[in-house]
Amino acid sequence: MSGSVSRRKLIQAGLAAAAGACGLGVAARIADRYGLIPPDSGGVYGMGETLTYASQRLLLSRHPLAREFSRSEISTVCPINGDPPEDETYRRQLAGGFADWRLTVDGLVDRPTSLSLGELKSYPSSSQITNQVCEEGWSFIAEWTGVPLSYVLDLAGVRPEAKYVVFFPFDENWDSLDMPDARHPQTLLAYGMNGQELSADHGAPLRVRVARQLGYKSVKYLSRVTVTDTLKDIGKGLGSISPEIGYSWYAGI
Amino acid sequence: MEEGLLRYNLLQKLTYLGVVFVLFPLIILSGLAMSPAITSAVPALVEGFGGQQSARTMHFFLASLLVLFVVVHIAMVCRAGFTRRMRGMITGDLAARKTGR
Repeated sequence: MSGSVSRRKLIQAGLAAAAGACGLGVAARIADRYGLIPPDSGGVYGMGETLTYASQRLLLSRHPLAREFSRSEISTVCPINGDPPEDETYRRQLAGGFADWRLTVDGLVDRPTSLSLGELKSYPSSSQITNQVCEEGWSFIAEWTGVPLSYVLDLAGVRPEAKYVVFFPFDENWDSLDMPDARHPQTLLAYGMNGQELSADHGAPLRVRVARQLGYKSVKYLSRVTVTDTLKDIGKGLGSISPEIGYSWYAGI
Repeated sequence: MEEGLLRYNLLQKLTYLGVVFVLFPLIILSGLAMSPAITSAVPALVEGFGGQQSARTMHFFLASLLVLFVVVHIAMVCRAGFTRRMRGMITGDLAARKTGR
C-alpha cells in the first residue's frame, strides 16, 4: 500500500476538516455578535480587513486616547486633499456664512433633530491637538475644536440596537464609524481649527474628527448624521465610499 | 553532494541573522508605529522611532533593504543550482536524491 492513503487517514482528515469548518462558522458568528466583522469583510481583501479590524478592536477595547501635543508643536503647513463641494446648496451656504445651514440627525434615535451651527457651538465644546495622518503618508498636527459626537448622539437618544453612525457630506465622500469610535471622547464634530473657524478647505462648516484613524475617515462638509444598525442598504453596502474605490472601511491601519 | 552547498559562509550567516532578527522585527514595529490606532494603545512604539514621520522614513529604508536582500538571495539560489535548492527548501532534504525513489 505504499504511496496510497489509508481509509482511516482519509476519515480522520475528513472529520478534522469538518470540525475546522464548524469551528470557523461558530467563530464568525461570535465575532459578528461582538462587532469584530467590518462591513467590507467580503472579497479577496476582506479576510485581511477582518483580521485587522478584529485584532485592533480587541487591542483597543479599553479605548485609549490618541496622543495630544502642545501648542508649539502645531504644524505650520496643513495640507488638504481635494476641493470644497461643487454642490449648489453648499456654494450658496458657504457664500452666506452657513447662516441657514443645519445638521440633520436621524435614523435609530428617539429624537430626530436638526441643529444650526449656533446651536452646536452652544453645547459644551472640546479641543484637542492631535496628529492627522493621511493614507498618502503626510501628516500634520492641528488643534481641533468642536462638540463631542457622543454629546450629540445622547441629545438625539441613540437606540440600543444601533451599531453605526453614518456621515453624509455635501460631496460623495460619505463614511461611517462603529460605536466604539463614534463614542470615543476624541471623536468630535469640529467647527474650529487652530483657534479659528473651520475654513472651506478643511471642511466648513462642520467636519468629523476621528483621532485614531486615517484622515479620510474625518468626513468634511457635513450635512447629515444617521444612526443605523446595518450599512447594507447604503451605497454598495460596504460601510463607506472608501472600499468602493479600494480603501479600507476601518482605517486605524 | 558538495560540502559547500550544506554550509553558509560568515557573510551569509550575518546577513540571515540581520534579516531575521533585525530587519523583520523593525519593519513590523515601524509599520505599527504608523498606525494612529495602535499608537494610541502603545505610545512607546511611535516615541521609540522619534515620531510617526521618522517611523515612516525608516519603514521605507527597511523595506528597500529587504528588497535588496531578496534580489541577492534569489541570485545566489540560482547560482547554487535553482532546482536542487528549491527541492531542498520544500522537502527539507538538501541532499535530495537525483532520481527519486
